[in-house]
Amino acid sequence: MSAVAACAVLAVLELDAVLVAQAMVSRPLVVGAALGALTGQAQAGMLFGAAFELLSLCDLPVGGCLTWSAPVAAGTAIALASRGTSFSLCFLGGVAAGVLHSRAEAFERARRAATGDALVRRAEAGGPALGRALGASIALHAAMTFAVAAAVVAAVGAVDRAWWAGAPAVLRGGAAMAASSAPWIGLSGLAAWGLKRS
Amino acid sequence: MSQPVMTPGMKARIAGRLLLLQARWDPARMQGSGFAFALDPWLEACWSSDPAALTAARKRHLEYFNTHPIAAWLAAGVVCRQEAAAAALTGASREAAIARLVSQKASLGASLAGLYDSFFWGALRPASALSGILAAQAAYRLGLPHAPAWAAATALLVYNVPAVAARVVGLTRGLAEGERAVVALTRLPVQPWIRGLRRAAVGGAVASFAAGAGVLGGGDRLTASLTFAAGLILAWRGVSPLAQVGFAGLGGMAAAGMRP
Repeated sequence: MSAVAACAVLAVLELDAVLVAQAMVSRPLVVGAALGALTGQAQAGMLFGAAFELLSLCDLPVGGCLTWSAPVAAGTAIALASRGTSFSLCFLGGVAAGVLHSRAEAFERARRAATGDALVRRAEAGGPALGRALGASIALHAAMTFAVAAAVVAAVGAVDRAWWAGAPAVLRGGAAMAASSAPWIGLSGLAAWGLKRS
Repeated sequence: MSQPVMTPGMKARIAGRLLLLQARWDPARMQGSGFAFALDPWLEACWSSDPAALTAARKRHLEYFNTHPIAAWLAAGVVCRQEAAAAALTGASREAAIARLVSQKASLGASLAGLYDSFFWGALRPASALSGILAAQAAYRLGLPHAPAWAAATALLVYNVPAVAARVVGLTRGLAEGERAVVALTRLPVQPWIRGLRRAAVGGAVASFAAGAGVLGGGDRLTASLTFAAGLILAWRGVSPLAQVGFAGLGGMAAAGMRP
């Protein structure tokens, strides 16, 4: 499966995070397993899925909480890995996509709030207005997720091909340390979080 | 006016629509539009003979509503029962029933959210993720194929068996018993369950670290152990995991800069 197709699958799976069902199929662990299998990158899928899952477990999705999107981070990192991008850049690209996605989602939510009164006026009369609005919201969100993931895959892929191999060792060392320490930081964060609250 | 009958088909329609509860989540109404969409078939059945009352019913459910997505199933059951009861009344008693319904819906959403957030987001979700990661580590250790699939399947099962049960039982009992279903819920020993799941998550995190670091070589194992120890201290002091990854990156840059 190509990286673009992986971004499309990610856009569908990510809907589960907030908009549809919340059955946990959008969790990075599941996204990692699914995209890893589809792109032939099972090892990378497991690694990025577990790392982003652990890093995000302490962020409770309550109220309007929007810190960063771990599913988008994991999916984008795996899409990048399917193009042969270096491990540390895949990780950084994933984090960038996750943060960008949450900013775009905040904008999307504000837009929905601004058009809420008009929707209420249409929906009070019954008919398909409300169902259509919900459908449009889902389609728009999936398109946004796809656009963010695909844009980051294209941008980071270009950086990897054109520049990363010759980048200063300081930068490459920092990126490698950030990526390789992520699972341990996630595990320790979860242990501390659980100890504090149990 | 006689009360409409909640058929299995109607219940399935409401349940299916509740899966879209947050499809148009926004900061002003939060789940209001999704909740109104879920209830709409039942509101039509309750208020079919009074178009003005139907419009008013739609309007009151399009307003602000927020709770945990799984708790919404119980809230929907309770509200459906109250809507049917209100539709069967007339005059001032109907107005009073509707006013009570509106105020109870708001307080029910808030009170259930606290309980469900703590259990499903704050305890079951970390426990299910860790069980998935431990399943993958066990699969790797035992040489089983498809370790990522084991991880995903385990995490999904551990989370969704209780979650689906809570959704179905919540809607069914809310419809059948109304507020008594909420009272019955408060009698469940949820706090000990939450504490137990969180302790299991702590044990799982330590076990997963031991299993992961155990397969590394000397230098990498030391780095992993130091990162884990530093992470414990920083997380205890409230530094977010993502910020810690940033610090690790800075540390890596410093180390790379010191190399000859």
